[in-house]
Amino acid sequence: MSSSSTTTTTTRLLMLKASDGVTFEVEEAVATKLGAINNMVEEEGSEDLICLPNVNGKFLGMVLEWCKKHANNNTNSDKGNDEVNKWWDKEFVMDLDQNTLYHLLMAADYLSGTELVDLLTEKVASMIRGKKVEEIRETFKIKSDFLPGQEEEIRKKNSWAFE
Amino acid sequence: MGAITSDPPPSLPCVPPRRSKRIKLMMWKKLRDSESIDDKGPVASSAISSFSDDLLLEMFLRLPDRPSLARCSIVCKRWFSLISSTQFILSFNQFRGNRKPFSSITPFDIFFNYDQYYPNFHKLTCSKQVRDKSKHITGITTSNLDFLPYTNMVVRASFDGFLLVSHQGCYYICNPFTRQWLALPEIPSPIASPLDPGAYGFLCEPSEQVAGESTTIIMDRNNKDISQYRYRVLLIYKCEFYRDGRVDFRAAIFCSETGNWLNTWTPLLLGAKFKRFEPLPPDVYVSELQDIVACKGVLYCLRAYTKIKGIIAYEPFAFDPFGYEKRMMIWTKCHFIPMPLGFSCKRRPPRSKGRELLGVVQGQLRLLQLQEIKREAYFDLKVWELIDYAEDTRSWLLVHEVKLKGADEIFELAFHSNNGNMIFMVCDHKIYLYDIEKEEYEKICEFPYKVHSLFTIKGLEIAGLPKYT
Repeated sequence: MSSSSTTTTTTRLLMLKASDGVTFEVEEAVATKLGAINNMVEEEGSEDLICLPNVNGKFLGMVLEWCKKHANNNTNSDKGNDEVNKWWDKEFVMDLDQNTLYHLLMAADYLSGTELVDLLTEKVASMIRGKKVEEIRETFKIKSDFLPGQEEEIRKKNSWAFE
Repeated sequence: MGAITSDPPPSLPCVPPRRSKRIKLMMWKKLRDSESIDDKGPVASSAISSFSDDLLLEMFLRLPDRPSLARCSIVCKRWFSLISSTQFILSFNQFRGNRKPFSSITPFDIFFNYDQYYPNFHKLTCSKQVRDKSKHITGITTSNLDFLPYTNMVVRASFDGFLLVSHQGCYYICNPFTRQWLALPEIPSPIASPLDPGAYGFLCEPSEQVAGESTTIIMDRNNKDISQYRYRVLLIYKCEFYRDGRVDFRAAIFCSETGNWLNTWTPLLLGAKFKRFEPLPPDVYVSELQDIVACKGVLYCLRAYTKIKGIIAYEPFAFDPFGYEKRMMIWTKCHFIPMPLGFSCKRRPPRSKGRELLGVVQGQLRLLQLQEIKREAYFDLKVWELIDYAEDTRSWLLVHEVKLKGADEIFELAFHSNNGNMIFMVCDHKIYLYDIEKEEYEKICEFPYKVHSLFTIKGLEIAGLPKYT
């Protein structure tokens, strides 16, 4: 289990259980980077097993990995760490495939990991940059549900955006 | 991170009846279906459509520009309805405003003068957010214009701490706090008009090009010399509308790159449709132009008291001043922006109090109208924001519509350049900050004499212009 639990007596451990039964043991300081967990801990503080029936172990693991990185770096706050965090975040989102990105984002949103949501929504938004409407639909696998003519009308109104 | 096990440890059964109180089960509140976040299953085919509205909006907020936003709006119906909502458009503007480095909430300066003709300048530097009532003003700096070559200089316009002042047809740019100044060349006789200009515009833009021969140094509030800017001074001599949409707009413009004055005129206001209006009385002249406000490189002139109410948008950087030196005449683009619906175009009855104001909040142009409702003893306050999707696609969005109570005498107003819920008010010799939503006044400072005008400066933005009232 976690090696850091022995370093200080005050470190509390929380058990987080994902939808597929995968269980994570994390320090409280790490898990409370997530707003949802923080609320629950504050509400009724005790060493708990927290079941997260809507998050798959794979994504919960990734979310926690991010939390751990940011919780550690927050403790000794100097400006160099900001840079390190940014660089780490960049690496973190760089190689995500789309599917992982979406699910990770939904997991982060569900767990109220605000900063992680910021990071990931920024990434999704960057995928739209410079793309035409058809390319956006293709990227996100969305079918147009406008009635014939409706789309044309909106395009006409905003024709400057489609040149 | 702790070890990952595929089975729960036997000592911690998932849902032990004994310990049920201590086990929290988080319900899926945001996802519409009960799918878990899994990389398989029906969600995977179009995962983004299982995003909650909130999550999609968060993502749209981070789009780089308006064209991207417009393209997203026709991807599907759901995206369209999310992006078209008023609330979202406002958030989008503010989110973008906040990302600009100069728009952070603190610190900011309130910059005001006592009287246009005997100018005294006061700069209040607020280092903390004004909501924090404890101690927000850290310094008051006072200055006047006695360092200039003439004593009776008139302040005409301001931008980013610089002032445009004039004396008998000669124009100067100065910074009253560093007490530095430079004189603009005289306006050559073919350009100069026998009439005094009716409105004055002044704006600067950071520039790579170092301005010509000028060796004078004037620092702005960020210790940046004016030679690091290119700037324009606009003197509007005439602005007359005709029934068929034509306009007689004549002005002189000074371009810092060439150091020359040019005549500028435009025969047509883009976006203007006047045919429905009655013929104009012949005496509608430039004196009816109100404030000129600079926002994102465009000068906006408010015309509130003529029959045709609207805002003229003039783009002083839209041409290259080189190549016009011989002709001294330049045709420039002007747009006409009609007033929003709900803006009262009636001329105010004499002695009735009220105010129209243009200003910049978080980088967006805002229009305010304050009307006294005498019988009810309150002011009607409306604020609109200009949504500029593109240069010829503009529309107004009503941001505030409230009854303003508890103020019987308002001399001057100014927008808070980075908080859309706040406006500064000058009543007698006191300056207040008014929270529109909470209907709360907060006194910021008090002076031994009446204050005539107020303008706030933040970074490259300015709200309000010094004006004799």
